[in-house]
Amino acid sequence: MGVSCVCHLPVAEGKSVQQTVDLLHKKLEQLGAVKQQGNFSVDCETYHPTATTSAQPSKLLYVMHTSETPLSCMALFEGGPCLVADANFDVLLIKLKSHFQNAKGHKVECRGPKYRYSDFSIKVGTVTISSSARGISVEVEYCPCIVPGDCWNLMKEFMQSILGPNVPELPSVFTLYWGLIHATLFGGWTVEWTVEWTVGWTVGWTVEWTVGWTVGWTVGWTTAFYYLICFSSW
Amino acid sequence: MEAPPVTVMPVTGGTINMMEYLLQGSVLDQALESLLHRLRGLCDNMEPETFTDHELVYLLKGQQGNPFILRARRSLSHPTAPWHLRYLGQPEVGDKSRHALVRNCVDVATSHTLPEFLNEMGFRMDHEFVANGHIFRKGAMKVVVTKLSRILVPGNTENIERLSLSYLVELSVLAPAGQDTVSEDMRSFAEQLKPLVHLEKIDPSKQRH
Repeated sequence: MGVSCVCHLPVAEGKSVQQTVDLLHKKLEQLGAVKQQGNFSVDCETYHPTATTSAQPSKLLYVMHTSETPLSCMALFEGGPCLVADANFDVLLIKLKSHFQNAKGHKVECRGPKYRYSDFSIKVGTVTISSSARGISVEVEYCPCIVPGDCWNLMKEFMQSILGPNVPELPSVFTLYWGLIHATLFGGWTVEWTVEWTVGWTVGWTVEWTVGWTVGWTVGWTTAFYYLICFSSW
Repeated sequence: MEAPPVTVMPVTGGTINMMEYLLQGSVLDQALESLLHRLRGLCDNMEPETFTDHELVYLLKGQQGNPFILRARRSLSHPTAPWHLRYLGQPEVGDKSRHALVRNCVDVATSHTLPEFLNEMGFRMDHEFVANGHIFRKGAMKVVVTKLSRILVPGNTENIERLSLSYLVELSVLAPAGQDTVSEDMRSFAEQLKPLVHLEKIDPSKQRH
């Protein structure tokens, strides 16, 4: 577990999504990154409540899965609470289908290879909706560190070396919370901490939400919540 | 509280239908030690396990039909353990000679944000209680002896009052749908607990409210 950053890589001018992805793979291999076995995948399904009241406008429910933690799923409401659950949560949502409808046509998937370069792990994913390639996401993880504020400059420099100027800024909330974001173990006690940040995600339509979660005993958190991908237009 | 079973069968387009087979009974407080002694002898040889759990029952009222019920349970003796979310379907109306109550069951382990998340989904808490007692296993069968307590101040699990002078005894098995030999095994085991406790099939929908 380290610090991850997910960013959107614009398609190179005059090139297709696949060609841009291939160029990035070549760049990583020339740098000396080693391709790992197998691909990674992250997917996001959208549910909308069937019953709405005028007092409370309906919020979309996103349920995400990642190949890094195949037995888990992450559910979050736009602008609202999130939940980490095991894979049976999907079965529960099927039982709740009269209350929450799955917008099947809006399933977003991101798949691609993983590379390892020294202390960095790089995942290059092609983002698709209904098998149609819509963009490219790049996840860069700096594995030795778990405090974003402590390694952001290093990560930014590394990301700029492979992605050019398309690197997001560190969300401002991290500069306030970095002093609190430490895990300490005292004779079996684990201190829980809550990390909140605001990220913008444009998914065809503009939706911004604040994602907060509590990382406690499940130290192996997933980076699925980090998959906040910005696309300017689709 | 033990972790819910993780279904090992792959989800291949359909749902995994796990069924809970259930027999219930009760014993007065005075008879508890005799029952525990018998269970220690009959069940798998393991360290006696006690639990103290806090369960919250949530309802989601739809436009029609009965409300959707979910049960959220957390361990008070292991506060860092995941929450356990459980859906129980209506009892199967089928073969009346079947010895146990059979109902669809979905168990989900979740993070600690479960109550806020359920509220956001539209669920509202109907009632809550504290359950403490003992748990035994015999193969796939689980025997739970529980003392239920009412919570006097909402959310305060320290201030509780026992609901009755007896313990609830439940014998249950989680198995995929269609395995009716399970209820036969349960009936045989229940016979061995007589006359200390009479475990029978009790349909919750027939209880008076």
